Amino acid sequence: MPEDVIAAPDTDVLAGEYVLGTLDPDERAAAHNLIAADAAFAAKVKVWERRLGELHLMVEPIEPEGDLWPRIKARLPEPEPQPEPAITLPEFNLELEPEPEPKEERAAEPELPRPFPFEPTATPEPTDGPADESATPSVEHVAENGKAAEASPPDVIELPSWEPAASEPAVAKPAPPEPPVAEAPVKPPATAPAPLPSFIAPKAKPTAATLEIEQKLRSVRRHLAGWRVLAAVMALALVALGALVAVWRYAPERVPPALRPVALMRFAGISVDTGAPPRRPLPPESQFDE
Amino acid sequence: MVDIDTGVDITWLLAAASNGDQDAFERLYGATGAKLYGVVLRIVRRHDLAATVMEDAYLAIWNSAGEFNPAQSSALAWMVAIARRLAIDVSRQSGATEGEPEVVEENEGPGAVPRHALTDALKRLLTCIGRLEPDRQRMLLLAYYGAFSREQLSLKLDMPADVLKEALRRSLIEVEECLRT
Repeated sequence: MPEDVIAAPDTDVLAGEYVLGTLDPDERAAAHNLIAADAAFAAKVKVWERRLGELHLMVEPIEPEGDLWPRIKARLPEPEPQPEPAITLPEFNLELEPEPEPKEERAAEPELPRPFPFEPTATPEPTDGPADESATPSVEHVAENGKAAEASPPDVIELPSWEPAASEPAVAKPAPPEPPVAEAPVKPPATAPAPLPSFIAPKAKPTAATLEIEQKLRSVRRHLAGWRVLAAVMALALVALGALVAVWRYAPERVPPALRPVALMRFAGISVDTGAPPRRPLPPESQFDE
Repeated sequence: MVDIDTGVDITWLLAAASNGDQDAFERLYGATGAKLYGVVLRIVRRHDLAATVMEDAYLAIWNSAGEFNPAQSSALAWMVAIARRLAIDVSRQSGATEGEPEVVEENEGPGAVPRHALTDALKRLLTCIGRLEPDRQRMLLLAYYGAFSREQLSLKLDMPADVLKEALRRSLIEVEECLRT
């Protein structure tokens, strides 16, 4: 009994001493072997590292010499991470650079002069299409190109979280002032500044910029969809009203009682006594006739 | 201070680094380098050795960043554990701190922690260590911060080696029991 009780914590103590750093070279070498061979012991070491880990908070930081980072960087594997930005960015540079100007023209011509008709003609498709492709797929491109190292998509998504301070202001500032304006003018400004920063900005930034723009385009499009629904509803109401008037005029008998002019006027609060008077004169007439 | 202020960032940067983002890794180094260097230098006590350990440590961090589990510990504690392990290995392998002149002054006690920086985990640990006898408290903290071997510790604390060994063992068991409850 007592031996077991002592034996069990002994590997615990060994793990604890390993983490503390009090083992002599031979013991430490033995502990290394044990970590490699015995998963349970390795787990105990992890537990002790966790237990004592917070003690580092009491250590004063000391600035290392300046050339330390270059030395570390030199030992990092270069080829893997660098090709990703190098390959992906030029690609959507190529897509963006020829297009921005035509896009602006197209966007400006059909949309601005005709505020209403442009809605049903689905402006978003022709004009926004290109902008869309350059914005959304840019992320997908990264993913596709990152096939070899699938790590890249999270990369791209995570970057904005700490990049914004540096990259967004340039993109974000021009856009916010515009949204308050009517729905049509919003788009050209939103698309116009978009491509510029994205191919001017260095490596990681375009992704942050395009994502930002993509979000803005989406909100503008949502806004437009609302107007389109309203227009459709109004058109339906107009057609229904016209139909009702036509039926009143040409086939009054077929109108359901609830939709007859008198019923509707009563419904609207106007009292009409047209129904009763015509009937009253009739009986007396018939009496007289007989 | 840097590490505490940017605690969240460190986890993010570590995650980005695990995906091969070298820019994020450079920022991670910028945010944690001084802390790790402080830890390492206390153990190896020579700038040249500390720099070598730092290189190895950050390379190990880069290679195993994907293994970090935020549910188990803070990102910084995880990085410190890697750096300490390598630093202790170096200090044991070379016997460096004995033969060579020590460039760095030995700093016996740990620095004070600002109250706002105390994490719950550290409070619990310090409470448990605080229940030990005072000389054992000192022994344990000295062992952690300097990573001294038992031989070195017994000289520093003026304690016979076998007494020290037993004291260390009992202290670790008591702290473990205390943390479990």
